[in-house]
Amino acid sequence: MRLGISARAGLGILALTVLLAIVGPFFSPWRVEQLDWARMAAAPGLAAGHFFGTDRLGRDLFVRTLAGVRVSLSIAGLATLVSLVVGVGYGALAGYAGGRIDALMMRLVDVLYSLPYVFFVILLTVVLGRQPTTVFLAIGAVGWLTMARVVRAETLRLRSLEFIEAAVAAGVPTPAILWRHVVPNLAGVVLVYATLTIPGLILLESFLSFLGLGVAEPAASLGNLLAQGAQEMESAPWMLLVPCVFLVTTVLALGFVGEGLRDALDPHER
Amino acid sequence: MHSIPMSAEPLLAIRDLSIAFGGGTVAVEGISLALGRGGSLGLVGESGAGKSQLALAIPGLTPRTARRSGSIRFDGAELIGATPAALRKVRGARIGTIFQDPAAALAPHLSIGTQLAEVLIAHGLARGAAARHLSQQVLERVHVPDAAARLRQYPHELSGGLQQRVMIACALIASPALIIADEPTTALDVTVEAGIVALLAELTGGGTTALLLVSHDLAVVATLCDEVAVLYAGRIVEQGPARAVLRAPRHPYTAALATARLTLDSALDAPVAAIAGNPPAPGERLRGCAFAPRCPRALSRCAREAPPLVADGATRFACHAPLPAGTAS
Repeated sequence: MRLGISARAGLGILALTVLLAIVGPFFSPWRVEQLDWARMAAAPGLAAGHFFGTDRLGRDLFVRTLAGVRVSLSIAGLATLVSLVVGVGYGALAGYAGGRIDALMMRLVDVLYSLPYVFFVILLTVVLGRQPTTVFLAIGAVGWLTMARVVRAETLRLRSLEFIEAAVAAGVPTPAILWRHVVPNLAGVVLVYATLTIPGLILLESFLSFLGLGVAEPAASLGNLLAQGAQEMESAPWMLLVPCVFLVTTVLALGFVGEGLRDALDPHER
Repeated sequence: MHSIPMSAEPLLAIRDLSIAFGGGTVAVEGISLALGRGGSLGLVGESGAGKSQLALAIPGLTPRTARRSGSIRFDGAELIGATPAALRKVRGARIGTIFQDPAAALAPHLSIGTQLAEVLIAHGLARGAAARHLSQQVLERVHVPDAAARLRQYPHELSGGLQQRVMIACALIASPALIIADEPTTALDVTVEAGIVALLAELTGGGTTALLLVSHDLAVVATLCDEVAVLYAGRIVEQGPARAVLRAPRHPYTAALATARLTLDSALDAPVAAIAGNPPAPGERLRGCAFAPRCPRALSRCAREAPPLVADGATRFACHAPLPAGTAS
């Protein structure tokens, strides 16, 4: 499999970002929730180790942004994993079963799709409180819906292929057909779609945290950093710019990787 | 493995089978056929005559939207209305199926050994090293050279002829009583075809495995089958011993099929004796004989009343104006 230039660049940038998010904090004397009473809303510089400056309360933005990247990426990554497992299982089952079972299962997906999402998240936040787990649940609850639709459509196509019919004709039991014949042939579509899902979910997490429905202070996520930065946009633009740059870079890099994978796995879609 | 039933019931007995799709499309209608243990039966006809649908209906492989009525008795058990679990146990173990295009019918992502073993595992016949051993044996039976090494290869690494041999091995590995071969040589090169036909003759000639062969190639049917049934527009128009039917057809359609062939010694500029016109569309039901509009011998009553299947000697045919017995085409 050959990836294009942009996909390889995206992969490199992504690897660098993740590496920085993990090892970066070791190079800073500051911790995520630590206040520097002497330097509030300080501009970026090497003085006192505030590489990206500080926020209104004197917390180090370098450490907080990297923590935000970790939180946002892991929520999006975990939710994608969940959508992978649930979506592939659900979609493959519906597509292979066909008929009335398929119709019923897909109507349930339609119903979940049409729930007013923000309202659902507010309810969840009220019940569970504002914490990363809530955001993860809120995102996971909808993340698998599109995956299930994509997988079902692909399974419908696979089911009509002759080698699946040959497996049926050989008396292979249905679970074995699903697991050994259908799922391996879904891998390409699923991999590409999952790579394209992560940036969407990062944006969704940021959106929820920006609205104050997601990850709560003092924990950091890209979304709530952006929300704080937006308030100081005129006096201290770095508070908005720093998390912005990280968000845009990560999402773009993931997008390039996804596009590259799609081209590499499906030459017809160019 | 199975005890032979006491009665003289044939291995496969199809009675008054009809297959219809939604919207009134009828694939086959009123088919009755029998196939004895170790026997061989060829189904011939043009594309769309319903011969593949008929063959695939036996192990219940018709599309879900198809409605089957009538009776298919196999080895003393009724297959129409059988539970999915019961059908699954018959498929592969008692009825092996060979598909037309081995390149499409072999799973591209599984090795040959895995696919052969899958059949054994599915029916609880063997697993692990025993399955590998049996897989190698069956590959040797279908004359795949270097069988042990082939087990580790993937379908795309084999030639079309070898792929079809592997497909046959998959159908054969559980020692079924019946093998259904749906146009087994159509997707292959002519040079490879002869080898596959010889292999099928060798495997089914022993009298233990029955063969139901679907083909539009009369020469292949004549080589492999004792009996033949000619289908036109979903109905049997003529059936009987393959040799007699193909040498001296009674139904004008069989006669036309037999002449509409190119052979090596036909002159290059001689016109092909194609059958004029087209078979009726799948949804179209004619009141009289379905072949009447294309038939050179059609009488006026042919368009009005459908001819019943009547017996004359060993053959049965459905025609108001049959060719005289003993005419070679």
